Amino acid sequence: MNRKVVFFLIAVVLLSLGIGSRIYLYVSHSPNEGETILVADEKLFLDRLFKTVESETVEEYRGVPLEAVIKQVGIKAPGQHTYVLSAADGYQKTVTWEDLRQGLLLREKRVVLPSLPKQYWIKNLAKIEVIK
Amino acid sequence: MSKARIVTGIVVFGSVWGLTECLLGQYLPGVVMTGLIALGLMALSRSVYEQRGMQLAMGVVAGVLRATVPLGQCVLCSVIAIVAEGAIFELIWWTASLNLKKEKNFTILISAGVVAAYLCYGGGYVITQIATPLVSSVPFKLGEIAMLLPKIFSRATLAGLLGGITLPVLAIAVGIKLFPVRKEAYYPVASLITAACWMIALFLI
Repeated sequence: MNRKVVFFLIAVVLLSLGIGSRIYLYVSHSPNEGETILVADEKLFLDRLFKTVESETVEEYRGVPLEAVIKQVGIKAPGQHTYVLSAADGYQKTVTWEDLRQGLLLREKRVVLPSLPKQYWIKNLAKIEVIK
Repeated sequence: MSKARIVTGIVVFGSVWGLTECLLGQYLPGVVMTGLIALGLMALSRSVYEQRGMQLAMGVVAGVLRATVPLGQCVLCSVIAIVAEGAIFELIWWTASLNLKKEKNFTILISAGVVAAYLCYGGGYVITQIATPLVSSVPFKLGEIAMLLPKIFSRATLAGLLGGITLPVLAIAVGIKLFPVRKEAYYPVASLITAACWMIALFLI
């Protein structure tokens, strides 16, 4: 096969994969999940959470401490678990309690984890799973 | 071309790339940094020096410079991504035997730009996700990368589209000798650019 065709075909395949992924992300994102997050299978309403838990400031960010969020749903011995943070689009990161307890949940559903690289700072948080 | 000339080219282009990452990396999206800046510098240097392995070495130089400047949220991720992009570009150019000076077919140039930028961005992203936990204390989960793939493919498309513009434009610029290098000025100019890049980087620390 000629070089021109090979290059063209590879480019088309890659772009199709990217466009397909974009459509998948768009379709799989549910805007109705907007104002709640699931923490250990318990639904937390953000408005209520931000009214009941005192906000703190870490670096330039202000939000509720993730330690308080975890304790709010009654996790016993939180230091014995690891935590999987998932965004609405499926992006996931697993963190330890030591890292999580230093973090904040911002009102716009963004997680700030000052002790970890930014790739761990989940945007549009949908749920936190607790792994034993 | 002499070895000294090539090594000088690696240091100059690597330093410029590294400094650009330091200065613009935290303001411009990653797709722009890869599809425009990184691809542009790598393709330009490859067309000037025609030396295999040069872009990987440039990535290492850029990575070292980037590592010295603690700007942005994740310096380590940035360093890993830069070196990975250099390695992936090297692999693509070596496999495809591309030469911007000789290639006149715009379908090939556009397609090659799309493929190179797409794979550099996507590959760099995946390698960063794998390598960052390996060299830091954070846990590594393969499932998390799998979940991330749609997002990577989606963003890489934008990088690819930018690459599809960058490469033909660069080929035209190289063709009309927009980047002339006079022999007697080569080493002084190269030294000046390199020194300026590292001085600015040290100033940023």
